[in-house]
Amino acid sequence: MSANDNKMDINNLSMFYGDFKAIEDISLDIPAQRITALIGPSGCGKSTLVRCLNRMNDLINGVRVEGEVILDGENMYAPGYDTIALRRRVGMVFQRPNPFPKSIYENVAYGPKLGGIKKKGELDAIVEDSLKKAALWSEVKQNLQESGQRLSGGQQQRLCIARVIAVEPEVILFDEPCSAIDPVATQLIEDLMAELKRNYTMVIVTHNMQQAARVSDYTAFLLVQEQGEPGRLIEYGETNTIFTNPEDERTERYITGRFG
Amino acid sequence: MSEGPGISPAATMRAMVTGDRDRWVKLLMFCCASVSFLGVLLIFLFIFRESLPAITKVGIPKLFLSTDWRPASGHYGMLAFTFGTLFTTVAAMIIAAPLGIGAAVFIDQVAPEKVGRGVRRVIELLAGIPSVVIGWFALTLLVPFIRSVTGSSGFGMLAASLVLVVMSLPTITTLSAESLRAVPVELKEASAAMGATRWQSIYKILMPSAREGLIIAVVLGMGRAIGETMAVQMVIGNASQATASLLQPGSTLTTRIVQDMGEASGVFRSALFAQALMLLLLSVFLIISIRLISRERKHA
Amino acid sequence: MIAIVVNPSMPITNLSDAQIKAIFTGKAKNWKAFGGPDKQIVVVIRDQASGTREIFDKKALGATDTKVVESAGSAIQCSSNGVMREIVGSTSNAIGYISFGYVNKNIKAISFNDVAPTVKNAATGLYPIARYLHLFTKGEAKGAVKGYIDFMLSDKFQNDIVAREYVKIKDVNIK
Repeated sequence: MSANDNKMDINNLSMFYGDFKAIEDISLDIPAQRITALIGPSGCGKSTLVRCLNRMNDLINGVRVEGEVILDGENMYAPGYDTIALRRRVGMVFQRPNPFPKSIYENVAYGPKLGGIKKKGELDAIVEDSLKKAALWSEVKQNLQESGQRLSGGQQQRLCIARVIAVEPEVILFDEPCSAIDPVATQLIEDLMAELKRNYTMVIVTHNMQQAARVSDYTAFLLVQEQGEPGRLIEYGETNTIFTNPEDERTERYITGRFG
Repeated sequence: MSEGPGISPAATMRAMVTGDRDRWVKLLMFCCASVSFLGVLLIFLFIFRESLPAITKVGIPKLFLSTDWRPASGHYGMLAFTFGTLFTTVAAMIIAAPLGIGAAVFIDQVAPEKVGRGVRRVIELLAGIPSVVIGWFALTLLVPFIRSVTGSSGFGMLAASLVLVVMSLPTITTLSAESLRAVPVELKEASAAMGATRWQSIYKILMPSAREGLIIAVVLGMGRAIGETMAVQMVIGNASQATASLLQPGSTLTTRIVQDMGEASGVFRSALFAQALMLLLLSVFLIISIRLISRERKHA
Repeated sequence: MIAIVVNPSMPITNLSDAQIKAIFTGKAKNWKAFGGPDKQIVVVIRDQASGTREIFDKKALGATDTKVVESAGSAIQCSSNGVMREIVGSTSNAIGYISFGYVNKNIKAISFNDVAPTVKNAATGLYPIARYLHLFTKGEAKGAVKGYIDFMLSDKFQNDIVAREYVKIKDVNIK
């Protein structure tokens, strides 16, 4: 894997909530147009790590980050880095579907409108295109004006994906996107991710190992060894290798379900 | 009153012993609820009964829809005061609503936690200041200030409205902050993750999400303003005219009642009760509108 | 006695009964008509329950028990002599009336029909906006009540207390 193929390089990243160190010294490359899965037991810092990748942790008081995350050659933690622009390039889909209490149309148009697009024709096209890419168009095209919060859980999550796609990001982060929806809807989302891989770099946090095995190209395993210690990266590699022939014994114990 | 009907201490004891406590607690709660309910009902009936002489003798149009208030010569039109109540309340809300909601946004969203909590405490303290103190304060500082700036007497609708701003601000601010806090943090995160600035998130997601709660906060603030008496009476000038001029003295329903009730008798007194009835109707109207807003929220 | 008062800055020293009536019933609205500045007249009256208002309405505005005279609807109603003094004393274009004992340098008492509001004029009945303050007893006063009345009629009380704000009973000489 050459450096040129990496969308992001995470170098020696640590993050603190106040005095508590949540993750320590993580170095990891996120290859472009691939899906990278972050797995590990609850509390291992995988959600914390993914939220470092679009600086969502900035919203929490008392958070401090050491190390760097390079996006296309630029450290996003460098002083003066534009986080607003960053988040338009690195979109995020959350654990619980969280459509805005607005119409389906307005949910998808929200990002483009923030970006200054005002013309109705232009917005219409973006909304339709994004909903199609999120495999939701055929289900909602008749009632775009209905509230996004009235959709089913799985539909809501795809609406959230459409919402992210509408701002044309380069990277999409998924923070346990299927933990709150049913298996059929999960299947749809996984198919969708495979589809989106052609155009987007994706990172998915999941505690479902089968899901990681199914959707991802690369897998990183994080673990907190002792209570109160920070989460550390134990092993990182191609998904196939991690799941069939892990180097570290702890990885093997985890993926075979012997702890966590 | 000390004993419920037919409940002997022995029976109560037996009930406790046999573990039948639930029933007695239920009965006690039922009695409490009945007392409150009957109290409200009695007040309503009493006010209605007391205002009947005016309603029958003066007639509804001349009582409720006339601005001619000259009680000494038998004219009891209250419209000037109903208007005064609505005018000062609306004028106060025009200032207090944005101010209160703005303060709520500051407390809940913008300020560091400690500062926000401090501001919140101070505003809550404001709610605890007796209205006569605020009225006196306004009489000694606000009225002379308005006088010196405008050349008017200082007493009037403007002074009253500003007093009402102070009186309703705590209600609006605390309830608004409450409804902003109830907005799921996921929505704020989603907005931020879309590349929205803090202000864009507040303006486009947070406030619309909390919309019904914010409206209810303002409506309850209005309720506070409509009922306020003492502080307003001290600064409004208590003139009997209907006026939409901010610098003219006027009256509200409450101030007229307290101004005239001392010496009123007969139809005059009854006409004041009719004004109390009007106040009740305004409150009922506000409560119904809150119900409607809440129902809309549940269905959304 | 009740004095008609204006702000000291108001260049008016006398008003007739007709002028007073026009002002207090709201018919006259500008000081210009009375030789004052071109300013709105701010009328300040007392509340319905006030005895001062009752006397003023009767003696100055000509109300009787059967015929009421309504004050201007735009008039500010205040509920004490103190507030009256405060308003008139601080509002350049205000006019009101006040119990004589409350007149001080902050407000200016003016003449009524060319009669100045003085103790002497009130005592002789020349200044009409005045009244007796009565004491009522149940039956013939006796015991402590009698003592109290005697005390109030004594020279000491009349000179020291009454003379400060009211007209002494022995000075009253109304024909």
